[in-house]
Amino acid sequence: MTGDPDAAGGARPEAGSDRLEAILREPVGPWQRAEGPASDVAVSSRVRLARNVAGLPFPPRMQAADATALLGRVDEARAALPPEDGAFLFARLDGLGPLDRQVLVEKHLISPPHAHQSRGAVLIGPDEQVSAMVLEEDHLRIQALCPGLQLPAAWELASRLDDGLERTLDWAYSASLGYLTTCPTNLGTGLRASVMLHLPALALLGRIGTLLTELAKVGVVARGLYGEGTAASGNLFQVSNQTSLGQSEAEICAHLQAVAKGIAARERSSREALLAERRTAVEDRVWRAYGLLTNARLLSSEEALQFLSDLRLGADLHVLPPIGADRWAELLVLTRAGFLQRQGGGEAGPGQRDARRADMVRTRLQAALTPAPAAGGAAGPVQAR
Amino acid sequence: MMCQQCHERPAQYHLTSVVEGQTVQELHLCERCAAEREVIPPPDAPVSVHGWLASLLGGLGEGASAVAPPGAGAPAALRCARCGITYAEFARTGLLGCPDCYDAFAKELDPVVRRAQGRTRHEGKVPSRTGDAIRRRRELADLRRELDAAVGQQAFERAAALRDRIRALEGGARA
Ligand SMILES: [Zn+2]
Ligand SMILES: [Zn+2]
Repeated sequence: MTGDPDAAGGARPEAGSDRLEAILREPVGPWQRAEGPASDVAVSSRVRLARNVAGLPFPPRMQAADATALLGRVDEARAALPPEDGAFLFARLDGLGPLDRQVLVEKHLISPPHAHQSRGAVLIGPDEQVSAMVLEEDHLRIQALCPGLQLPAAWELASRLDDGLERTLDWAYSASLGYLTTCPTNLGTGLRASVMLHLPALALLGRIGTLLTELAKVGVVARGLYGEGTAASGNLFQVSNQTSLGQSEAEICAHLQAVAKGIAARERSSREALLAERRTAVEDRVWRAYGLLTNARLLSSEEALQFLSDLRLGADLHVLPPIGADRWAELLVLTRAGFLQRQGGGEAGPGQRDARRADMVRTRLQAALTPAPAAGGAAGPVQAR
Repeated sequence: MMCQQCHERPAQYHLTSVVEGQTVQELHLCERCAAEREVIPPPDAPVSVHGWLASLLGGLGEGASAVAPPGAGAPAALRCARCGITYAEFARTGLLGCPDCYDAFAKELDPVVRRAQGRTRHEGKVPSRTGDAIRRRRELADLRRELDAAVGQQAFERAAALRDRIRALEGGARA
């Protein structure tokens, strides 16, 4: 855009500001619209690569001038990315308000600690599939997200941005220790692969504790996405590799992929067992969740997570009509505090948020979920269309 | 202490700042209110890893001032000449100051890395720009190890073949 009148006043004309606004407005990135493999259990796969620029202190020891200079170098590296990789947006966090940052956290584009880093920045690629946090714990944290269970694909994408940035930036690297990271727990590949899993049946059957213990034995860390341990809200768990050194990236991803596949198989057999042994109890649970989500006037975020988990279980068990994986993922993000406030036009206290959350879920679900009318023409709980 | 937000449940999270951006002194929240405010860190939040690493390091000595792994005899005052952090600072935070710290604290870090990672040698990606030399060096190191093993097993035919391959690679490095 040449001759942009907005360039006055020293403010850089933000070619990407429309795009950033679109990212902040949409609860899920375009990448999440596609249905991935094993999506009945695996919500998404992520690969993160820690990278540091050679010759500079790590972020915790960086002076302001070095930090600013690094942002400039990363922006240059972005401009020099191969055109076929698409356009990457560069946004400094000091230009974003607290709610904007929280929304980026809720979309998993930045981490909560990074949201506090006013000198940080974020690079976001086409479809929001590949991105990078600048000046988090390491100079760069590249990440790639794929729907469902597909870690090798996520690794390919992350590695591609790594290659692209490396055309301009020299990474701190040692032949024996690999990529040098701020914390030695990320040393070597700098890779953290993770899969977000929805495990409602294993949770209902009280099998999460055993699972977590077993996973620890095979070098896999599992944690609740929201909340801790076996009491994870929404039955959403994230499994990740524990170590990053001594194995190739492909090996780490293949191992975790195999472990996640095994967990998915267990979750499926637990779902079958539930349906076979406790059908009425399961149907009751699912329909109660449906009733609350479509009628409640106040919903806490914890309730929303729990009922959305039940709803999804119901859809996957064909007790409820199908709800698309993307629609469901959308609701998970839309019910988070930051999103609700930003969408609802500003900061709101917990009580106000609970009301907004209930309104939003009700409206969305009535549009998305219209159960087939029962035989004999009896009206369902929701008007068709 | 009760949660300062709902006053209903015991406070389990004690915060000095919240995600909303403002710094709030001493906020005490229950798990539910903490989750509501998104202050519970996600699985890979560095904080927990550092806690774990720091406990791993701390478990080796007597607190932050004397955290040298046994046998290594690392003085807590050992300092990286490039960035200035001391080994004691690293042991306290779990964070290094710069890439050179890995050389400065090489001896002390080796058992730490071994314990945290289980292995000490990178087998993954090599940066493409500096990569050719590194890849050749890695292959040479592998071949030399195989050669030692072959000699040890008196498999001389195999050793001779390995020696030829090493010579060829070394020649390639010079060419
Ligand atoms: Zn509370
Ligand atoms: Zn240093």
